[in-house]
Amino acid sequence: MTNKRDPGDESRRRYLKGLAAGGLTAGFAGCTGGNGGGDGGDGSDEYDPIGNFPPEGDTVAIGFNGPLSGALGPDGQDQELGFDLAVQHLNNGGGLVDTWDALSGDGILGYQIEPTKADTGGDPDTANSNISGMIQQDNIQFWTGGMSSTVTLAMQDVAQREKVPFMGGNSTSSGISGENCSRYYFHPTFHAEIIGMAAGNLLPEVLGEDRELFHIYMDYSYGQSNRDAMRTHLTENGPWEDAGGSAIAEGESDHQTQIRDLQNSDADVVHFASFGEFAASGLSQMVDAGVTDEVDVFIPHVSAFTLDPMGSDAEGVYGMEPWNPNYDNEGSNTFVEAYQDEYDEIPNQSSIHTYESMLVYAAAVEEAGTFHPPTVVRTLEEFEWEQAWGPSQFRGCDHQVERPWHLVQGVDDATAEEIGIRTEVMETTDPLVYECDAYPANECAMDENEYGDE
Amino acid sequence: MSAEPSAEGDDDEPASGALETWDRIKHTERFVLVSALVFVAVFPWAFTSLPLVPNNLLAYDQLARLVLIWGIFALGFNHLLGQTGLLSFGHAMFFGGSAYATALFANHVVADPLLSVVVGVCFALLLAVVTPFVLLRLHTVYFAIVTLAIAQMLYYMAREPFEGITGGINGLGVDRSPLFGLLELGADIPGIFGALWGTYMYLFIAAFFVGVVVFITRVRKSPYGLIFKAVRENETRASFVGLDVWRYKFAAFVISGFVAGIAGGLLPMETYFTGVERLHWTLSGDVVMMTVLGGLGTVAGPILGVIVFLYFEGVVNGLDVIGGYWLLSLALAFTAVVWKYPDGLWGMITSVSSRLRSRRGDQ
Repeated sequence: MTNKRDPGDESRRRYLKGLAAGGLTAGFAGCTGGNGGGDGGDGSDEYDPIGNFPPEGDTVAIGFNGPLSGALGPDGQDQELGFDLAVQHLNNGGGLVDTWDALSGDGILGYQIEPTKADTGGDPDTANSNISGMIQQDNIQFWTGGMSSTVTLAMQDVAQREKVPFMGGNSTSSGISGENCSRYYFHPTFHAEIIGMAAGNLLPEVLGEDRELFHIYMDYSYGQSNRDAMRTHLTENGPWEDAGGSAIAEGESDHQTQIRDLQNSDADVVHFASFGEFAASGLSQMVDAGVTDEVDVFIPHVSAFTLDPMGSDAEGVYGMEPWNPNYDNEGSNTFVEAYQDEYDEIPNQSSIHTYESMLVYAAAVEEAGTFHPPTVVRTLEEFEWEQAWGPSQFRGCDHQVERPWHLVQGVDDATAEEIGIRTEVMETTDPLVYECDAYPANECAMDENEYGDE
Repeated sequence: MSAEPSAEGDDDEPASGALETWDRIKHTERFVLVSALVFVAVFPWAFTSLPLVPNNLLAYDQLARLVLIWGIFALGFNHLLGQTGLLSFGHAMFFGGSAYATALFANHVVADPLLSVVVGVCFALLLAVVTPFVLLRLHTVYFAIVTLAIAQMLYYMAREPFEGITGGINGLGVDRSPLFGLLELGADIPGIFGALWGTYMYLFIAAFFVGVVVFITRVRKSPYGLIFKAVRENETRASFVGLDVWRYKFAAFVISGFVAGIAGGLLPMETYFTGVERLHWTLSGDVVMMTVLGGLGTVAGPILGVIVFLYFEGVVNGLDVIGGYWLLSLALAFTAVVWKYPDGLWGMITSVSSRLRSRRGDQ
């Protein structure tokens, strides 16, 4: 790797200060701690210390805590590349930083970013220990990264407790912006409910209105919530007929039973709620059984760790993506170009998630004029921007993003080689999210999560 | 075989009288107690703020607390394998089971840390009392496999059928209120002790840690504990002498599960979280690795193993370049140590110190 890591170690500072991992006291620190000696024009004189605020010295530490190893490794590594590129651009200019007026290309509020990174392995306990170290030792003001919903759900609580903002878990459990929502976490991607909505909008348009839908789903929260969302938006409130479903037991990789159930139904579309290697193996069994000749396959969320093992089986399969490098807007083009210059490969949704999350945080800080976490959080709660994700905004009620989503289709090997990714965009929705009083937002009690400076 | 890392330092004393005194006291229970106290007193400071060590090589406060928690777990595990010779590959059941019991009690009844941990330990004890009736009919690899199977069964149960209670793969956020409604454990200890130990949570965990070290040592040094060793060395002989081998194995299993349960109960109080990963077989594997890496059958060994393991996970993981390979480098270190010193790191230290002493004897 290049000079991205340079600012690093010598200047890492350690603070034996009042806010170690215990955290519940963090909220009171502001009342007792007096004014922090913030230097530089970050407006820190106006605010009491809270969480890791104010940053000390002339750098600001920002963390990456994602799965660089394990089953989610392929996506985690792409997230890391996006993070590295964002640090480089924010510090020295380039990419979307050059085209976004709010950003200077000279750090954030004049503070150079000092990155710090660790591997969660997809495990919440490792993630917890990592972030605890970053918060205490590296004094991070913000962090990003993460794929697994388990980890993101656990990290949301840490962010809230420690009053350090967190954004960019590319996880798709609806609880993240539902019942487990957190004042200090912002969810930049979709989840089962939004995937269902977007599919309800686009699939009948692409596949026709006279269709019968069958579900093959993993029999736990992931598969069930996707099945329910698809039912709601395609058959109950949509034009399609329900043709039943067949559950995959935990850990089961032989899908013959489910394939037979599917063949015995009248379905001509199958919603295959699975991911990773399981999805790849299941799909290849469907291809072998000849199912895919007659039935269209839809996989709710496709990303690198699902697509890579699928290989050429992915051809013709439909899926939903929060972003695709072929999304034709100015921001995406700029990002893809900058990413290719740096890494000589095509970025995917995981790289853009950490990249744009970093920029959004930086822009919110610039707009707020301070790193003061409650102020930054308040700024983000009504933040609107338009970069690679398209026209986007966070909302205060559950911190869920509203932005366009993409229906994609798998391509053949030759095309994949040519465009650098296994999917191409079929249709894109308008910026889309459910109302604040609808499920799962109605389960989010945001008011119970304090800013910490009330 | 004591818990005190400064042991090697003492070996350098020139006077042979001092050496004799050292040999005499180093195995006494009082010495182990004092060592444990000294260890918990200086360890967090040495681990997180040792002068002249670059910052990125130092650990952070939470890691020190995690070392004590995992240290307790490893001591519990070691009591079964190192002391009695039973290899369990399912110790996650006590750890994760206790973690869930603690978390559920804290969330639904009272979030008092001590009470919750006690409830967690009771659950682990229950498991440790019930499971041996199946397990102790089995020997060696069959025993290991069935412990693994039981733990995996609990893992899958927590993951799906009981998802509504356990949170399934998403895990569970855990409440923690002040100790006895008075003392917020997350608060900093004032003054110099705060710099040494950080928060009251450290003292809370350290109290359990010292208690476990003393308890384990008491058992080891007692005639009762010697019988565990006899069972380990030769089960048939032990039974010929008239000992009820099943009963001693049962007792060892219960003690081991009890101690592992303490660690399992403390962890959700520390992290405000628990998840099914704590019941998974890989966690059982981690504790085997920590114990073997540090040195089986000793008190200091497992703790040393825990320190090294968590150091790799928590500190090496965050280093540039090499950080991406922390698991690989840990595996290499483990293989290298076990290859050269089958008795683990503690075996390495004792063999180095005895070599030093024999060299001095030659002069």
